Amino acid sequence: MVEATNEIFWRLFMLYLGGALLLGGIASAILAYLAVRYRAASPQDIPPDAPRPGFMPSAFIRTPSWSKLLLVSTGVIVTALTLYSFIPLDYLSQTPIVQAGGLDGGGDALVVWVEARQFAWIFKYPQGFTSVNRLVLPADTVVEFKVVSVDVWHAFGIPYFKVKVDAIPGVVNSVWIKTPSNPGNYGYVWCYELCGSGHTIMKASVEVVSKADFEKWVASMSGGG
Amino acid sequence: MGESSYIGQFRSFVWRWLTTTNHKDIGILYILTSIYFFLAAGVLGTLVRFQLARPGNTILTGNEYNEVVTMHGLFMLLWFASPLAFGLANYIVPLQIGARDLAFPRLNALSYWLYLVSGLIALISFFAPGGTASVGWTLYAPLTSDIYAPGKGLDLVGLAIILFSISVTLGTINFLVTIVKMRAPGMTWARLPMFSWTIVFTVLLMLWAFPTLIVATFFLFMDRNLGTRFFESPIGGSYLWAHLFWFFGHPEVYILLFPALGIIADVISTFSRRQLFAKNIIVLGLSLGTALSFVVWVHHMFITGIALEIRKIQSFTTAIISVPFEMTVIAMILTLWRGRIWYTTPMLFAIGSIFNFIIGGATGVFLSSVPLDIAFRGTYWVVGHFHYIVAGVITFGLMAGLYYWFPKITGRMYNETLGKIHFAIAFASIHALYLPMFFLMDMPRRIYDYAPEWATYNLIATVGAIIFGLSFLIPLVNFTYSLWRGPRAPDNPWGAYTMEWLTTSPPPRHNFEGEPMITGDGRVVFLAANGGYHHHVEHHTLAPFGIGLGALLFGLGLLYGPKLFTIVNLDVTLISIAGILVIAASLLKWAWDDVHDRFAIPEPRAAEDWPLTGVDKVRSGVWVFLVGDLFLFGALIGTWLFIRTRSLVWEPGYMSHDLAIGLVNTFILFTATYFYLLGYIFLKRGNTAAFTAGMSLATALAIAFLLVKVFEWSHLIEAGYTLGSGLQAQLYYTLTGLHGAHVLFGALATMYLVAKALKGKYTRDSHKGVVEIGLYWGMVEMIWVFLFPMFYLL
Repeated sequence: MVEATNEIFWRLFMLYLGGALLLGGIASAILAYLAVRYRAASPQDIPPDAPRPGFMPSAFIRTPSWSKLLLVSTGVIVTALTLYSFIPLDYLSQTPIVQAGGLDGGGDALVVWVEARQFAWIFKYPQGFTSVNRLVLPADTVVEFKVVSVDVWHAFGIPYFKVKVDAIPGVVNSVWIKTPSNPGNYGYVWCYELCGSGHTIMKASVEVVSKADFEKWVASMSGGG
Repeated sequence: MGESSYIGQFRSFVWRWLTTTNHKDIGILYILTSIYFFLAAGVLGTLVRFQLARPGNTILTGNEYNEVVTMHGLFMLLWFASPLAFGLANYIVPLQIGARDLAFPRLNALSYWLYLVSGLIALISFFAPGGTASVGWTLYAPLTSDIYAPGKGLDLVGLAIILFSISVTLGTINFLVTIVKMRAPGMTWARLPMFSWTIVFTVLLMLWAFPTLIVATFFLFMDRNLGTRFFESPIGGSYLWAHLFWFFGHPEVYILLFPALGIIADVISTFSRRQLFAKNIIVLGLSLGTALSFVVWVHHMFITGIALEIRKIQSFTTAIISVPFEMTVIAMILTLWRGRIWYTTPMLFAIGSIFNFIIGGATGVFLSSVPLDIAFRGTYWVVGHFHYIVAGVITFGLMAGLYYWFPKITGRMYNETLGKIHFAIAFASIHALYLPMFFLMDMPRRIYDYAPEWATYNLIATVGAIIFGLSFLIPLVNFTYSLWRGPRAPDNPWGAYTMEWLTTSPPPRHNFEGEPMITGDGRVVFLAANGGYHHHVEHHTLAPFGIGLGALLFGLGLLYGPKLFTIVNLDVTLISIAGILVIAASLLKWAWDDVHDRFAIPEPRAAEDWPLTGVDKVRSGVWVFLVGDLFLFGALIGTWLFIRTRSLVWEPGYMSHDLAIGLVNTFILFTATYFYLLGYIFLKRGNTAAFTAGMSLATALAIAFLLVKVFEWSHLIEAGYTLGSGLQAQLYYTLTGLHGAHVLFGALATMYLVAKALKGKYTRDSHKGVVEIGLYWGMVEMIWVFLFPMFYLL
């Protein structure tokens, strides 16, 4: 069972969001509490142990030992989270079904070559046809994109699937998604790296269709040109 | 002085500000100039938000939008944030450490004039045919090549970045030597206030990061004008730019952040009446952050297809580097514990910036996780995150600093009520501006039109932006009015304990009445004037301004002026040549003043000056410069390695260089330094005639080295081997060319020694400059030891 990239993202995101809200909330609450609790009655209200003008204190002051734990606490949590995210990273880094050739090769994998250029997306399907600014994908399928650029640096990203990869001249980068089982429109492919005056208009529609409809679409595209 | 007419007064006013070398004057110039660029960049930022207010807006075209976005970023980061921090540092750091001025006042003036001119050239680029740079502040290749970005706008921006980087590097030398060598006796590292501490870390980062930016931008300039193809090369050209840029770019983040953190720490300490909590741990942590910031740059490149292992390593280092900043935030919060907080405007901005740091930091943690970064890279999540840091923490922190030190700098109190209103509006609107961006986590950056479902959050952000932008008119009015009508400021209006508050507001030209010193138990005492402490000579010189003016002319010459000749694609105009001549004349004037010892400043009384114990100011400065120079060549040799490992076979057109010529030049260079050393040994024995002879021979041999180089190059060019002949050729010309420039400078510097020796200024015991220029020759020789095998043997 292949897990969709967007599901992997949302699970990890929620974990991070929970941690951020918890730790950020605690820190903000302590900040707010101390800021209110210790306000001075007047500017002349100075504690007896305050650093005085005309006296430069040394940094080597004693701090309670619990504070050292507190100081590194968030750091430990952040590092743990980062190490944990290597697990989904490993999963995302390799297409689950590693085989080229597409639908006809057996298995539910499709390899689409993506050519980025100023200012369009050109999709080359394994059946030999190309589609400009329109990405049609079969439902419930693992799709691998091989992304190249013919001119400047672009970045290929589909918000719904939460994946992205740079399109760099002279380099083939790859990224995979698993399409949902419900056919429909799934937003756009956007360009995520500034590529010139038409950066904004560089987008392609993402349509997921049933496998049968996809075969029909492939046939019409192949026949038409 | 003494002119009675207004014209005379005006003239002496202009003369004073053009020629000043006093750190307080230059601090004020920095502050005013950076505020100007802040307003300019703020207007550009607001324009972005106007365009994005609704989907389908047509206020700006695609290209205009890209120009506005690019220049907003560059102006805010390069010409506002760092310079305002350095304006405050210029004014405050010498006062905080009990010094009379910075170590090299003229160099400081030069830093300022180059900064101003670089900013002006960036502004002028708007008027270039085809407009200014429209490629994003990260200048990703190959969009920056002359094919995709024609026109002189980007060239001017590139020149501006190079000039700015030079200005920064000079400032680095100055601040590092000042803080290490010129602290008052007893101002130990442990007692150093946090603002001065953060400036130490900032300049260390600058020293290591900016040389790489200089190299990268210089390559870009050559690619666009002189036919090289560093970043257009299909063999990793884009990667090369990204690596060089982010090797600079990540430390740059901390370069911007550190001074603001220092201000916030000092302000919180002052107004909560506590020392910074666990200051020693924080200082250690920040030094760790300084070192680590050079091994996290790949986290800006997580989706470029870089090897998984490298991404994991840099993801881990990114998590580790967040630790010192989390510690700092927690320590700042804990500083309030058991304090007596006096809520003034600077304190409000400081507390507000801690809160913003919590949001900006927490959202940044998401980006250290590679799977989440894959989704967020290039989206408004990133925009929201880093604006919380640069606007919410850095700008807030700098505002805290402006309010905090306004009484000290001007001698007037600002209006507290207006200050608090400013804080309230800015703090409320900044969340309206940037919080919605986290909900736009799918929206690409730098697009001028977007999908309708993103409309609501964009509209909220725009409303927030307008309010946030307008809120900065309040301090403008407040400060202007207070400067003129504000109540007189007492010496220490806040009851603060750092040393800048122990003198008058504003401080006298010589900073303190009496010589500051800190006793073993921490008491600050002012010793009665002895040893000529009050004999503070104000130096005035037009040379730094002249160099700046020449640089400005050079930049203008890229756009205007009668064309004289063309080098590959670069039109050289009369105005550019005039600019170079003005620079040369100013440098000559500078050296001439030195030959006559016009600027001799007595050595400061050494405090605890580890790690430069026993090394005088000038030699310390040379050491710092050489470290920066090492990083410059490091970036170049790194580029060579990068290209060499990717293209194991050089392109056609490669021809091996004549080993005989290489050997001859190696011999010449080593003989030159041998004579230099010999001359120095004779000087130590008191034989000045032999010293002069040795230096003259060294100069002659350095010139011989250059002549051989000219001979070698002209033969290669005749054979059709030029800058455009491929990767090997462009590396060869760039690296040996820069080394040649070093030899030329060394020859000029040695000539200066000869001139000084002929004037009879050098004796066995007094020969300032000889060892320093000798160190420089050692560096030039060492680099050749690397270059010779790279180009003649491998």
